[in-house]
Amino acid sequence: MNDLIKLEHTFNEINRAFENQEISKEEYKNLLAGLDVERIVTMNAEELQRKEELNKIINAAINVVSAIA
Amino acid sequence: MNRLKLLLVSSIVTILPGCALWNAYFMAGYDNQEYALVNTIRTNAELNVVMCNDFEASKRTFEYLYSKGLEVKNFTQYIPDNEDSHKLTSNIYELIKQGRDAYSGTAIVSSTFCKLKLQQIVRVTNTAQKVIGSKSR
Repeated sequence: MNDLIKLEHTFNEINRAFENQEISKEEYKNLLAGLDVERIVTMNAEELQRKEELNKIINAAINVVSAIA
Repeated sequence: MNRLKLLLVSSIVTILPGCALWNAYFMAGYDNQEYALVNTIRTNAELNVVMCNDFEASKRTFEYLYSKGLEVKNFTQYIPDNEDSHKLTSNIYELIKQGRDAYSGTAIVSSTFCKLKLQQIVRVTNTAQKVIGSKSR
């Protein structure tokens, strides 16, 4: 949720810059394409962190089994 | 107590789908070089936001970031079980390439664009560092 708010904030910032004519139409499109990359990275990062947590759980389970054996 | 431990382990193994287990267990661990390259990109992007009023300096910054972005993308590519990191660094590369392309096509790039693009790079590399840094040693 926090990441979504950050992305929304960035989107508003880009829009504001375009409305104030601080950036050209091409630059506006370029920044929006960058925002899409940010969205993808955020999603991938969440997935990767879940995998890492799972990796730790599995290793902990293996240690438990090793201790029992 | 041992029965309790066995129950815990078997619960983990049976609850999680096979593919998720396989993928998670065979993940590449922490790589210092990978982390350092992402850190270089982030730090340079942060430092050069203040130079955005200077077109030539900003163009050089994006050229430098581009070479580092390509380096980290290539570095992560053939490390076994490292597909996730490679996906992440490919996105960093793509973002930097967007900025570099803006500078190669024209002699006029607004300082606001430069600042916003560098800030995008900073945010994405910050996220990537958190993920890469939390990998098991």
